[in-house]
Amino acid sequence: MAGEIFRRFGTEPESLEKLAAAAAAAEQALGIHAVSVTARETSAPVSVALREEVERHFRVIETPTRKDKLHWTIELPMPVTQEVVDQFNQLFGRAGP
Amino acid sequence: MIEFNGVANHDLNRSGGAYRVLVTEFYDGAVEGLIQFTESGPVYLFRMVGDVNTRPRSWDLQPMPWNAIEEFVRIVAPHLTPKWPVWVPVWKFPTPEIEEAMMAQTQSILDAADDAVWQIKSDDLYGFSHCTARRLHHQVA
Repeated sequence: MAGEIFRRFGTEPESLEKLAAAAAAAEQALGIHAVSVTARETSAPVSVALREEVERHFRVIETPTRKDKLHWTIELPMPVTQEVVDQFNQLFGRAGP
Repeated sequence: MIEFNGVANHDLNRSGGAYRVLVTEFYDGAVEGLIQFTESGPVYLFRMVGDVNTRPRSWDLQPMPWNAIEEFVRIVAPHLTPKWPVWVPVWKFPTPEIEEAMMAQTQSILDAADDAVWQIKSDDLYGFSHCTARRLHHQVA
């Protein structure tokens, strides 16, 4: 869908350790080395990125859950490097000062 | 009559990690689902407490009927293939009508959850291979 917005919960820059751990856990459970986003609207604090912008850098996979039909996963390269983390944070507007 | 098999005498601190987990909601890890700590032990509905970014995560455990996992699997198995010990089904079905039916039938299972009796913490985001547990004040009689 054109103009679809991906929302990732939280607003602080994310660390390599956190993204790598989440992606590794998903790899084991889901078979996708990835982290979560949702395209549904929410009142929770989120950072946002246009889906088409994310797709320029990462593969995205539609992974609806029972309650969140708009849940997606963003596949991260293995291993997750600081360069990947910086790119990810920049896409979601979480880059540091 | 709903049977909450063995919940009253169950001590999670004497259990190892999870025997099997069915994750119905996930976001960077399990948010909600069904869990069993031993092969013949009680089944619980787990629900994450707090923020998805907190590590370790915490989940409340609500007793479920002893056959809740089997019933859930029986309903969705024509369309989704279980994978144990940790199953994270991607909720996709051939038609909206089937999806609606799956939602209603599985909700009737989840609605049987009793009040939370345990709260667990783990940094194993899907598998619950290790966790610490504390009893909540409410106990099943």
